[in-house]
Amino acid sequence: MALWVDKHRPRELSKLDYHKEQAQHLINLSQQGDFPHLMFYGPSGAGKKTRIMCLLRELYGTGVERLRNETMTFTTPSNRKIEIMTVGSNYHLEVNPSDAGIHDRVVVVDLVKHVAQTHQLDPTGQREFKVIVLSEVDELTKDAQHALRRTMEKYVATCRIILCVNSTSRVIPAIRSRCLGIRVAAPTIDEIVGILSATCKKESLTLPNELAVQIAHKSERNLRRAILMVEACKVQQCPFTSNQSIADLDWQVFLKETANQIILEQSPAKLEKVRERLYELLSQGVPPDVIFKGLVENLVRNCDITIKAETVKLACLYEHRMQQGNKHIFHLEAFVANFMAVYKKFMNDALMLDEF
Amino acid sequence: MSGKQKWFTSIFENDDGDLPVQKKQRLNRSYSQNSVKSKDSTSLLQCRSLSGTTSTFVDKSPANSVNSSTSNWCEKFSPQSVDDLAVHTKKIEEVREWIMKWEVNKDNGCILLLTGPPGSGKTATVRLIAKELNYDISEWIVPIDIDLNFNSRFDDNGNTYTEKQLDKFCDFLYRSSRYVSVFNQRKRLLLVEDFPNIFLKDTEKFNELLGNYSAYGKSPLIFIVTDTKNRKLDISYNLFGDAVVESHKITKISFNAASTSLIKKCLKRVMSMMSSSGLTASYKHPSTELVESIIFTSNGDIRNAIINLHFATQKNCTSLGVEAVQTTSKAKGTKKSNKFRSLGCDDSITFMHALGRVLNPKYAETPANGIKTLQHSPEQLASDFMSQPSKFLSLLHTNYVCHYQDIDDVLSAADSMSRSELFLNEWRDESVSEIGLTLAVRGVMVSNKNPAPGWIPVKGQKKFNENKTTFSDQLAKLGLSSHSVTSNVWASDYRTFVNIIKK
Repeated sequence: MALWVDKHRPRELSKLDYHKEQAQHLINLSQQGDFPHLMFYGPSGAGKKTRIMCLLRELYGTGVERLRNETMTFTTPSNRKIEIMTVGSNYHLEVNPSDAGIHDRVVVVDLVKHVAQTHQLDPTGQREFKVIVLSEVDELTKDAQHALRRTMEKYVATCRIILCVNSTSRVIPAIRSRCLGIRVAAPTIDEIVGILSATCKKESLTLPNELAVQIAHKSERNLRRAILMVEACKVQQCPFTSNQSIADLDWQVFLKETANQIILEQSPAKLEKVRERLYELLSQGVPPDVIFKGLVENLVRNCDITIKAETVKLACLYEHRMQQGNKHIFHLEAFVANFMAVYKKFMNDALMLDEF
Repeated sequence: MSGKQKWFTSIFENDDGDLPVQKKQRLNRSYSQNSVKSKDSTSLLQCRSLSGTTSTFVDKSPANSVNSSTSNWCEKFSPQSVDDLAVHTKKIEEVREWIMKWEVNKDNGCILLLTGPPGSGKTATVRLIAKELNYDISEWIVPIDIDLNFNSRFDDNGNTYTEKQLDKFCDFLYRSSRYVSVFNQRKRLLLVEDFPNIFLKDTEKFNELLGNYSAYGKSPLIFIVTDTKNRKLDISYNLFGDAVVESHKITKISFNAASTSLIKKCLKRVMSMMSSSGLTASYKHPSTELVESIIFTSNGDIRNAIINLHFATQKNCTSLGVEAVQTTSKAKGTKKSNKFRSLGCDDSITFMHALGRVLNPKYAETPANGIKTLQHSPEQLASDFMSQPSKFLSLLHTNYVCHYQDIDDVLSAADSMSRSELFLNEWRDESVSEIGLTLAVRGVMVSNKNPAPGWIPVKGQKKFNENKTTFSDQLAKLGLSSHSVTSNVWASDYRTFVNIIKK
């Protein structure tokens, strides 16, 4: 059983639902003989991967859809073996090098070398280069990014690299300047509603417009999330009604509870409990910046207007540090401690005023 | 025999007297000058003198008189009787009792394990007790430089081969416990301080050997193991596990670091011997202050204390030395904390110890102006753990919160933690990480104005690994692998809905 997200994913650039002008540009690009390194950037669930796959199909034909999974082993200088899952066809290879943690540098360098040292079998009928798709490049360590920069240049003859990133701010300028950046913005609410209805039509279901709008809002313009939500809704209640309940994301609920606990009590003991909860989220794999954002949103919603500005200011400071740092929990916790102190002071002042 | 170069080595000769005296002196001097760490010049000497002989083990004559030619003070002023030892009398008694018991009842295990920090007098105790009870010590020394010409054997086909260290060790255990010296018929005691490296890898083999020995051994066997901080290198932990100790009836006696009063006694003895042996010409009598700082610096390591004494008194004699001594005394702090800055071992402390100092900061108040100062300086604590700053920081981070009572205090500590993490992440300059660690340590120590009372257990670092196996399993079940889903996306988008859809 394939999920709707995969089943109804457009396979060709000409069949994309939005950013059509950009799709036309990509078609033109693929028809040229040469091809630069590319960097697709945009928020999660905007369709970066979909566009990359469509582009690869445009380049190599349907052969890229014959995928196989492969586990590659890399050896670090300290003789540790790292196993990385890759997905690839005869023409391309897709990897998430940040899976290797701090050893990502080895993975990036060895992988590119490995792929680039073999030429295409039949360069007359095909392109003369292969493609490596690296996802979550913004999660790579600086070390690995610098290594990537060098290898990108060195093996340009036999391979092209397509990077897939959420935020270009975490990619070093040296890499940014070597790639053609392609921005994939999140679809608008209307676009999402249209896609959802079309998807349901293909599944021979009718989706009430109100529900579609509701889902589109709830998904935070994340198309992947929206389609998964619709499918979940279908499982929960089959003929759709316009006011049926939509399942919440479990980690969002969890985060909201955490924020409520912070508001309820401000003490070192509570801080420890909050830390446990944050650890829980992090260990499940929720990205730290998503946690941070969700936490701030929930806290700001619950606190008084006078400390909102202060809270956001603190959030800015610690989020910035978190992006530069390595251990996310340190900065998340420092933010929570700061917010607790600010909130407690505000509450004490309010009590004092009441007494007068 | 001495002073004359010999052309062959007698196989009966197991005394190190066959080395030319001149050479011996030279070796001795260079040895004691170069290495302060190493403990016993004789053992090295014997290794060297043995390099050409076929026998790999040595008999040490227990009669070790004051040898005025050696400049190693540890050896020169080595204790001559049990009373001279700077070891607690109870421990000495324990060792003596063990040997006497063994003489009476041989079934009760013939292996003794002595553990303790370096310089606590383990070897000296064994030597003196052996002397007292009329034993010859036969010590195993790992042959470090094997001369191929002398040590190679011929196998059946006439090819040469070098004997394995392990086999030699077995030989040693077997032969020296059985066959006594032809020259005297004294009882024999085996001593192993230098473990063949192979045993650290092959503990099974060692266990087997011990089993054999406890069954067939005819002499008491004493293992001496120095405590180490590193668990991987800790021989007593790796080789002498509880099960091993139990099955071979090994008696374990652990020595403690020498106490201040014992070291003082020991140094006094050395000083009196100094003046009696006519060394006063080249060495000055140290002041009591100096002696005290030597004792303080040595951290219960007698060997280190004697070496420092040697060094400190020697300095006085030359004109340059006087100045140097003046600077060292200047470098000394007030009161008890007078220690040498450039001399002696570092006061190494364990992670837990340092963590305690950081989390429960102690203040010393100067009575004059009432200013409180931290008893342990954060800079010192930070620099002690510079080799692994991020580990220390993580440990600190896991534990600091519960030591606070006020959220306002936590706030500044948390802030300095977060800042420190940034510093540690900076890879371009080494010194930045030291600043980072100092920042965190100081932040935690200073900001805690109102520490939580009572004892709070230290928690281990949070093991933080994402569950990747189950993640890919779930994907495979659903046949989702056509598009690789990263763990982030899985957690933030897929999981909830996939769970609903699967139901």
